[in-house]
Amino acid sequence: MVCLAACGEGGPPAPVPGEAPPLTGERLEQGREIWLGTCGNCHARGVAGAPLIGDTAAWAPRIAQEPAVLHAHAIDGYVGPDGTMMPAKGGNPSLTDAQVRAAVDYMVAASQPPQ
Amino acid sequence: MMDRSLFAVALATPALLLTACGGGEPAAEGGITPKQMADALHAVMEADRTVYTRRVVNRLQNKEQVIQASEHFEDDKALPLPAQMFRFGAEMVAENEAAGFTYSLQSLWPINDQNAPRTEAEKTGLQFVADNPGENYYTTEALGGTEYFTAVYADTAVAPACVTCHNDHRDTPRSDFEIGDVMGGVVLRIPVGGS
Repeated sequence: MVCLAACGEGGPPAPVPGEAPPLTGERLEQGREIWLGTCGNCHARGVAGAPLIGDTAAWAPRIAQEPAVLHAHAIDGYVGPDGTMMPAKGGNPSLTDAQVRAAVDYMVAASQPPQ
Repeated sequence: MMDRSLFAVALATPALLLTACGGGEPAAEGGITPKQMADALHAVMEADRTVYTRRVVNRLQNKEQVIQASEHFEDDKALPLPAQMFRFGAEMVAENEAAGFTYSLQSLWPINDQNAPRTEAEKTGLQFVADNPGENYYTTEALGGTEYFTAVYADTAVAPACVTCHNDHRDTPRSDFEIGDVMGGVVLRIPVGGS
């Protein structure tokens, strides 16, 4: 109990898979709004094999790639090695490329392992 | 016809309470419950459909771009849509009396009226899975003198093609689907009583 309380102080809370925490910063706040409107339809529930936001293990190999790769996959669509498919712009063509990049950056920030 | 004795045993077990969205009832001694049977069958269906979607359609259509998937796959010399493959399997099982159960893909917003729910259990179950993403619906119903265990599992839009086809179809009663929405459900029906 003492350890849990002591360890819980300080840094941000550990990510919870499927939950989209508010993050500070204008870009991340914008990204979260976009994420809630489109990306969360799949990434909050793991629809069609979509990695859950906050699932640090699932996101680690993805985050290890260059951000530009993740942005391109999200904007243009992507079929993964196991056949899972990320639809272009999450299936919402009304989003701009900049909005998609902001949503990706938010999901990456929300899926980082605790420091 | 499938041996119904296991299901009869299960229903005779006092601990087996079949309730909407209820789960977790213990297996009947020496057998399995109708819910366990239904969940197992659905797991196979879901796995087969996912494999076809990922390993065939997504790979050949979206990644290697060698062939399209189309509702009119014969005229277009294309792959059947995953939902069509699922229906073909359901139709084959329906023709096989030895299978002992039936399943179908239905929707409260069907493009084809024949895919609309007919029984109260189907209507209630489809509404339940639409209102409660991630949850299944279980009940029993009597049809034609036979008692059935009926399970409904959500069918979710997983690709742009699902959404655009349904939203843009001339016969669709609903045109605001988004990826991730529950568009319908798999209705699985197992006889559990004598006829």
